[in-house]
Amino acid sequence: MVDDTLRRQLAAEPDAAACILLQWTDAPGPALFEGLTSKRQRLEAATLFYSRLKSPCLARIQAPGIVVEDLPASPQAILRGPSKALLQLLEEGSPLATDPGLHALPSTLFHALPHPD
Amino acid sequence: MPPSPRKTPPSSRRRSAPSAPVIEPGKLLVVPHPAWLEAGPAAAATRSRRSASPSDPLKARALLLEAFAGQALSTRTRRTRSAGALSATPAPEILAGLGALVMDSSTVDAAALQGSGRATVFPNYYIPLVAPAQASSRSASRPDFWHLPAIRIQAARAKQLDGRGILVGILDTGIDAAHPEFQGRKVHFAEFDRQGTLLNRPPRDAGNHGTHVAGLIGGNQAGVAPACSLAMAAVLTIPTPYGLSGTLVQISKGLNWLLTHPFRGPQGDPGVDLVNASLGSSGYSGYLYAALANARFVPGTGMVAAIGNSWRDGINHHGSPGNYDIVCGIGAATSSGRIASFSDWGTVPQHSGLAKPDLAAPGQDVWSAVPGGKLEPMSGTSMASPVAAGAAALLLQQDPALGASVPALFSRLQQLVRPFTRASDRARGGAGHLDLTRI
Repeated sequence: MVDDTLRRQLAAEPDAAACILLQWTDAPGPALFEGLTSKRQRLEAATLFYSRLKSPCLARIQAPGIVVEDLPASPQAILRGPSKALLQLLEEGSPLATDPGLHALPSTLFHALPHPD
Repeated sequence: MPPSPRKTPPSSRRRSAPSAPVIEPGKLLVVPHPAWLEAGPAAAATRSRRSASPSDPLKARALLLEAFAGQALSTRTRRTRSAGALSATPAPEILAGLGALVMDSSTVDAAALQGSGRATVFPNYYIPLVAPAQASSRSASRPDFWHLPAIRIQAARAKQLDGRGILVGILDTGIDAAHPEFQGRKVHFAEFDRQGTLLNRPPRDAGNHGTHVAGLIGGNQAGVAPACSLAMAAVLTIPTPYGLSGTLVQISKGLNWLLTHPFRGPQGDPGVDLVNASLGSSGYSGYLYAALANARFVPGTGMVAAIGNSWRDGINHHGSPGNYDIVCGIGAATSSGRIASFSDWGTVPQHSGLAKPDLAAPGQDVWSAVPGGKLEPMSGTSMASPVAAGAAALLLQQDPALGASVPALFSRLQQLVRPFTRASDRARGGAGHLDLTRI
């Protein structure tokens, strides 16, 4: 699924360098961590879970100028490249646009919470 | 015009700088009331056009907003459109994540829309920069670390709790690591640019917010946990009209660094022990939620976050990630033990009406470090959050087993409170005012 704002942002500046966030919706349940007591073990289990979830999709992303960066132990990956190329990856009907378990998000801004005065 | 989303600050405010909101003309933020959006004519129109709603909630909400936008147009705009001059009416921008629309002010009769009860319409305010706070109303010249006795820090110190051995991660503007408040302290630092690329830079603060926040967690004088180690992910480095900001990619990359980096070497546990995030969106944004999904199971993924400073009463006006159910959201209290007027509160429809904040901590005129070796007061839930994060670090030092479960840690933190005296504060202050007496 592609956030509508994302397509508009990319289309507005097709020649600009851009980056987007891919975020998968599946998350591990408690069963994955049964018997794992240390933080290292739990993080490794999460890393493996997300790697299996993401790698089939990430392996298919091959487009000129597109760089894929996986964020291990998380349901996220970053895509960087020209807006035009990113837009092509996200076009209607493409695997990235039709996978219900995957969101392509715009890199929106978060703020240092403004001083209340 | 609709009421301002930023209420007039109380007469005791410290700054003489003009505080009248600056408005960027041309655009309006339209926030449809959820009940109207979900069940009103826009929903009916959407359903009639499509045989089935999309399974993706974000997509479904975008469709509702799109339909709502058509019905929110002024009569004149509709006439213009029906006359064929479509290009003369700028299209609204749909912010599905926020449940809002950005509409051209020439296309909307704001007063009529607001008066109809269908939506709240906000002018396009500039939100003030995160500026160094000026002279405190409590003390113009001498630092006053009143927040420490206010949370009964002496009870923790009596048990030798100072955060030793605990590594606290911070998502913020950076840090002046050479500040005397951090002397003798291990400070890890990584800065990421707006595309999430790791920059090879020595520690620095793009503003002063991050140094202040870090000082309240682990500063030698101001810190609740003055012996803890700090890991600063500088991710709020972009100057914008809204202050120093960071992109979703920038923050996600910084968060991932905090949660997975081998700070303790190849044999030690990776990642920090908890994260403070004095940052947010205005209103609910689900974008960061998935990144914290491990919080229920993986130690160190717990986040303490500011709830927001919007002065807004009512429901769902606090910021994300502080309003997530897996995050401990912190409200701000004053030195007189009241809830600060600016501190946001309410329930979160996205989490079954969960009430936020989870608790409150000192957050008005709080003194801490700023770059250049100085100490200054600042106000905001940005300040309350690190005070609570420092307390969480003390709990982890006291009982390392709490680190095995983020929900257990936050549950214990919520027990370390005293109730607010006034009913109005109790309604806005979550479990109560942070109080370490029973640590």
